[in-house]
Amino acid sequence: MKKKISVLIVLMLALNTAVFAASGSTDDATVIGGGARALGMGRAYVAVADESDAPLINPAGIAGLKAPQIMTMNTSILNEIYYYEVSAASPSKIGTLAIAYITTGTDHVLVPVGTSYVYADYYDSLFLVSYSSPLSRFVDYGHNVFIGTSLKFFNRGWTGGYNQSAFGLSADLGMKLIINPYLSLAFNRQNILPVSMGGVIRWGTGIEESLASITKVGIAIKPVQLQKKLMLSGDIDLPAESSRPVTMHVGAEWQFFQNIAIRGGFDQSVDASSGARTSWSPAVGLSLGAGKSSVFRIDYAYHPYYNDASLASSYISLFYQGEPFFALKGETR
Amino acid sequence: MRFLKAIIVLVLFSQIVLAASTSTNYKLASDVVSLGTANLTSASYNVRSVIRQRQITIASSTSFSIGEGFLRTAYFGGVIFAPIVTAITPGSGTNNTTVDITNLAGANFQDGAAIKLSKSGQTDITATKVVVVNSGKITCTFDLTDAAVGLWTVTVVGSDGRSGSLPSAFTIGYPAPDVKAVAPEKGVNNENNAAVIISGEYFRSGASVKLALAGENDIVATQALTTSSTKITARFNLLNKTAGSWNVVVTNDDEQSDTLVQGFKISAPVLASPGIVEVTHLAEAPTNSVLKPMAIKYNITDDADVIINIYNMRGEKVWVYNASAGSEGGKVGTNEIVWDGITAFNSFASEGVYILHVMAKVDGQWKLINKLKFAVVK
Repeated sequence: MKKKISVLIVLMLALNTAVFAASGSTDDATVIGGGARALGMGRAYVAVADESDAPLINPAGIAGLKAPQIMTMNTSILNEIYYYEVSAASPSKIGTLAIAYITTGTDHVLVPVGTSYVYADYYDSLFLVSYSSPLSRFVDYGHNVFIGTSLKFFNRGWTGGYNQSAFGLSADLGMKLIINPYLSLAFNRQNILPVSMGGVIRWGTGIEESLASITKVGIAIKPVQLQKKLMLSGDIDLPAESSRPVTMHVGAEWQFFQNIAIRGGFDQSVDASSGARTSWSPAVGLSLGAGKSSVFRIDYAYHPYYNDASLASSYISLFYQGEPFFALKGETR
Repeated sequence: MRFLKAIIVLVLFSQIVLAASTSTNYKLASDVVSLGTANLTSASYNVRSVIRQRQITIASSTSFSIGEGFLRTAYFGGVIFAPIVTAITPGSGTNNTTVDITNLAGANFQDGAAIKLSKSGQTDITATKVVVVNSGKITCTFDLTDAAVGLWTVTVVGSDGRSGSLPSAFTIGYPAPDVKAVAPEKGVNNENNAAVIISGEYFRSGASVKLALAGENDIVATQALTTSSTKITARFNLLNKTAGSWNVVVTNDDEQSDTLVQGFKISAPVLASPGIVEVTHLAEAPTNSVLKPMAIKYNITDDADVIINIYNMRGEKVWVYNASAGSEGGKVGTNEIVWDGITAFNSFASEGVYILHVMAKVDGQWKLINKLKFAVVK
């Protein structure tokens, strides 16, 4: 089994090369980092992701779901850019299915048109369809290995005084290895489709922009000997684009009551003003919930960027988990 | 009657001549003889110069007869002529240093003379480096360190113990303040309580501080506290004051003052008015680029260090420009910086919206003075 898993990992990392379109590359909205829970942990979430927002970080994370979930989040980036996301996931007989939608943008932007300028609104939408399952569904081993994938549909454009749109397609491929209840390893390769397979954003003007590909590798640990309700996590983002720096994330979650948790982390962002081209920022989060089998929860995260309070964003997620499906009750998560 | 007086004088001087008849030193020629209150004219006696050199000021005394005087010249020089002080130059000094007296003027000065300053209740200050240049001039040095301020009497004591004084002739004062620096060196004219620290020497308790600029009313410190002889903390109301480089004036309680010329700059707030920041796309895209360079224009109202940050829609800082005060980008007036559309990570900016932040360093703090959303289209 280990050999086959290794082969899978090597295969996914081999995809960590990109053929960039002549017009440069672009990122996708999942860069923001999932829901408020993930952001409160400094985006150290690849090996943690186990809820409906997992497709935004690691689609393999939803394989263990026993009940349907839905989550929303909204924020304002730099007090200029609106950002909404919603994700829903549900286990099924064939595996866990999820959909997610992100829309972000801003309005009233001066756009150069010819020799003059017009005001236009800009939008950037991403729709994901995800599937995840334990590997054991397909082979005789791997009940503790979750695999998942997301198909991603991009739609961007300008409206108002300037009308132009772009469409794109790509995919993510993730894996989560649950070594034991206290240790998980995971990675997710985002935007794996090369340009030749359509992994680009195509504008109506003919401009093509390749989608930046990043491999996220993470670990989640529950140090039960230290604190049973504590979870620590760490991620490394390895961009395929060599000029973009590697970034890291570390986080912690302490669920000291069933429906109350606090979180914190340090999040490394790319930073043009830093000699290292990266800088760390702290993040904190709080979670308040209610219910046992069905759960309603509010997650909040506060995340200043570049250690500048004026650049801080607050993230609020609403989360709901329904009753476990009858057929799935009792199955190992 | 005149004739009778002449006869009397002739008779008197004839006695002198008779008394001194053994000497040939006295050639009495026609001149004025000043003795007592009488001016006598004689064509025979010329004794004036001798008598005047000896400074016989006790003219009314009857102790000296003309006959004795001329016959006993040693008596005049050894007994009568004590030092006389008439002036001292310079006439003042400060109690933080020594002062060289270049001309202690008077008469009857002799080698071996001692000079001192004295004041009631104070220890005498004895001069050093005393040089008797001649009988009418002495040079010397006084160490005035920590001496009491006020008027002091100058006394010359001859080697024979005789002395002459000039009361209240020398003034010792405090040293004038010396303003060396002000921190911070500038303020903004929207501040009503700008605090500064003035460094220097010889500041005295009660010193006042003001800012002065030609053609403008002085800005008197609303608060000035001399925390030590080298430091004053002061506060100014700079609200709506004229921008420019103002002189800093410190005046001690003895009215002595010092000015640090153009020591404090008042400036207008560094601002780029809303809407004045603009991004325009220049001409055509250069070869190998799909992006037209973008000119970032903004106004600032004073020289300042400026940082321009460009963020993408994810909040990532993708481009930075640093301009120092006074250089392009940080100079008063309109600045124009060009961004070629290539990020700090050596990739073309993707099409979309970017957020521009113009930050300036004001009073040592970075402040966001304006921001703008702009489009990158290809």
